[in-house]
Amino acid sequence: MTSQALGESARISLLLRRAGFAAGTNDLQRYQQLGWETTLQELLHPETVEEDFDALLNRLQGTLLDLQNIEDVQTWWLYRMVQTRRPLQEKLTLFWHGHFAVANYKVANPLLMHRHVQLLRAGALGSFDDLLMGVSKDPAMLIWLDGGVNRRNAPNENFGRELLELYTLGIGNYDEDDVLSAARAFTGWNLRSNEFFFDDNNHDAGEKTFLGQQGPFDGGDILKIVASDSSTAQRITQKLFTFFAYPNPEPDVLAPLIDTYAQAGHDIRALVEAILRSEAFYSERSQLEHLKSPVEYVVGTVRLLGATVRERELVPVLRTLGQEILNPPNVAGWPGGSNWINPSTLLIRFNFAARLATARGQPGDGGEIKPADLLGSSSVDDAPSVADSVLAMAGGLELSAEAHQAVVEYVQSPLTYPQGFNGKPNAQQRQSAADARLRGAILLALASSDYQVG
Amino acid sequence: MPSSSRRNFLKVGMAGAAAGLAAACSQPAPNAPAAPAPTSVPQADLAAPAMAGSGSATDLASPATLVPVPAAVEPAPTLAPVAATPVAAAPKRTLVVIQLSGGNDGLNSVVPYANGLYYQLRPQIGIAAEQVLRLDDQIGLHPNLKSFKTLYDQHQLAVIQGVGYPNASRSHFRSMEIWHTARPTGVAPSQGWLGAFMSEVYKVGDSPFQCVNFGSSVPQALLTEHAPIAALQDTSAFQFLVDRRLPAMKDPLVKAFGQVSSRPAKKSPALDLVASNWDTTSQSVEVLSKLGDKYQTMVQYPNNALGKTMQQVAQMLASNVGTRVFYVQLGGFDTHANQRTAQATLMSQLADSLAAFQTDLEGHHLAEQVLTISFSEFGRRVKENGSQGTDHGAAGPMFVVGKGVKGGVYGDHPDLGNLDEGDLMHTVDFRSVYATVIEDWLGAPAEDVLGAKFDKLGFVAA
Repeated sequence: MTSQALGESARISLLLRRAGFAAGTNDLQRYQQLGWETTLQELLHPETVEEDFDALLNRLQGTLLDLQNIEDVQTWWLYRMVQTRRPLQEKLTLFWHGHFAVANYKVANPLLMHRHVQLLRAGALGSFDDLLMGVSKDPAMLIWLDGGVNRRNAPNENFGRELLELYTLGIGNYDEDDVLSAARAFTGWNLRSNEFFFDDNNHDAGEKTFLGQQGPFDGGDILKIVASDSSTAQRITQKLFTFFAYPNPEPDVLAPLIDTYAQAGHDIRALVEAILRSEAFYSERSQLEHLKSPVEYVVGTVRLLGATVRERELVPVLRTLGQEILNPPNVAGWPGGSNWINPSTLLIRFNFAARLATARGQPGDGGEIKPADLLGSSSVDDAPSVADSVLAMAGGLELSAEAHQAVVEYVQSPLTYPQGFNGKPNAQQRQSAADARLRGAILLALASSDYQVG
Repeated sequence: MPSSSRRNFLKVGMAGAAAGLAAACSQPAPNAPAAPAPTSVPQADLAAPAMAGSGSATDLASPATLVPVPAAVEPAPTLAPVAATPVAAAPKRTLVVIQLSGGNDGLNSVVPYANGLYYQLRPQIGIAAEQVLRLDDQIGLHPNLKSFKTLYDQHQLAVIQGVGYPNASRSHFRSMEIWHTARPTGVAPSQGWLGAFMSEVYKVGDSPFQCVNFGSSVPQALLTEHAPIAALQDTSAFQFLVDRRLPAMKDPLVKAFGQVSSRPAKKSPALDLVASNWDTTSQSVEVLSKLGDKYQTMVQYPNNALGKTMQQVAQMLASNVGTRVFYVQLGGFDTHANQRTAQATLMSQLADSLAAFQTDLEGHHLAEQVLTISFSEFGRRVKENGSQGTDHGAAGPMFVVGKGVKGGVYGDHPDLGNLDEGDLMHTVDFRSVYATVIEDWLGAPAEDVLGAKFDKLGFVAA
């Protein structure tokens, strides 16, 4: 990863890390053969790629998977992220989950959470206005922000406020009267038997003033007004760009992207395509200022290592790393960026990487990786080339000269054997010691500061 | 959101990282890089200027006293990133901040039971006068704050009424940012108010635990570029789990990890952030591995997340790792609907956990040196909504707990008959509470930390 102009292969690698969850050796090879343009098209058009998780879900449901159990729904989604052949769609589903940030700890209905994720996935690359409408009527959202109990006589402001502050306009672009008008407009958007239900008797059909406009607005009118407001376009663009590239983007980077979004009638696919084609997305700043989120770290590493894992075990890892899917911390979702990094989360990253790097498919290992297959050789005789293969495997990781040298020295330090071992090791013992050394080298790559970024 | 803070405070070196990993391994690592000599030995009086009035010139945390330097082993592989000179540990004062996230309903925490307006505006969720735990003839505590009432009767609880700031924001995030930065107007700085305090008192070489956050993300209140922030979730699990999985390989691994964690290939705020935090991680592992069994308790903490966290705070206090500030969060206060049950549960969790904590501190003779305050980003709307809940409001009460507290009720209760768009008008500026805590409890100059002078309240015992 040198400065400015990335080669095609590095561009593809970056694209797959950000617009997906990284790619293992085999997948990466396929994408490299397709080339950057075709890879981008394939990512943007998931409908052209075969992926039938639903048949699998139907087979597993009631036996291995119980969608009334939140851990099962979380496991199911993680399984999709690890296995998906439509990585951008899945990554955007995660983005929208962070944007609308509905959590099971209040919804308390895993089936509705599953349905919520399905809704986000189906609309992930569609029109923002449609997605917003869908989410506003989604049972999980109606429970999450008390839409289900928003009544004419005493409106509940919860949904109205967060709609303006978090889902669309952003703070500073509305006042308290607008919040109240929105809350009134959504009265009667209730819930019956866990389905959206418009309760005419509880709807306030009176005149309202909202963002300078007047009328007997209902919820649909409010959604139309906020979705077409320019501050919403600005906010969605900035948030998506930050998710894919880097925080606090320059105004002149955002401007053409906002235009694209507006001209495409709020089409998310068009906006995402413009971001993924932008120079800024591949810039040095993007390479150096994107901190991997916990999901990117965990799922990405699993994919990179071609590891077999028990996805269920990833749920508590993500929880302690601060990104438990389907349980975001509050209505604003995950703040992300520098907030991902602190001593506690780094330690958990290290321990996750150690567990994965040393997974030998034994009982209790929770999975397996095969270092010799990954690196193309089981030998540790040529330490510099082992170090190079490890770094190439870890997404073309570039280390400082000192750090690189430390990995080389680690690989070439004398092989060690279990305590009490005397005499000459046999071939099998030597191989096992070399295997352990390869695993250690992989761990070093995953624990490096450089790997947390990118 | 601050994009890059928590860096620059340490010259990141491989030694810290390596030492942490070494500490996690079961045996000393002879091949671990030798610890560099501490560049400067923090003298007790170096730390003193900022803390005039805190009672002792040797107030500086001295983790050196609890990192036993192996007597016989010469080039100690266990790098203690601290002064090698043992400084007599003097009692130092610690602040524990409990953040009640979501906007706690102050009116149902400290109830104006003698005010008819309260019951008019809250016909469904108002707390009946006979259930209230009366503090005087006007106000009383939520019935589930029983443990607080006991502390109040023992003069160990201060209730500060009507705390807020002008032009209250009803956004969780903006209001929280204001409480975290103590800057209600203008662009919020990236440094938090406790971060500003830490930057006053922190010296390179101090304990990595001067400032400890519990939870998976660090609040803005603690952020600063001038001091590390330790972040913990479970102190007993804070170790590098590698020696068991890569047996007989730890020594070369320790050495190499020191390099890959501390020397990124390029410079960027993100890479610096990671590298400096790796260093704090490693130092934290090192210190925690030596906590040993200094702490034992007879106290039964409530079996919930807050109770468990408060027990860990007590453990760290008992182990004297030099912490000045602990930060703990309790969420779930955003009670727009069906508030009664939800808030009642949270009130018990809060009061019972803090009461257990106080008892535990007493048992360890630490009660004199710990002050605990709680706050929430806002109180809630006075008039209940149509779903047995309350929407976002403004001013609310704060609780201050400890033996160093001059118990009682402070500030005036906001006037229920004179509301600002349906919300309480504050009677006490939250920065007055901060100023009191910083100056009268922690002994640092409040004006430097808060950027302006605020009247202090008298809740810290002389």
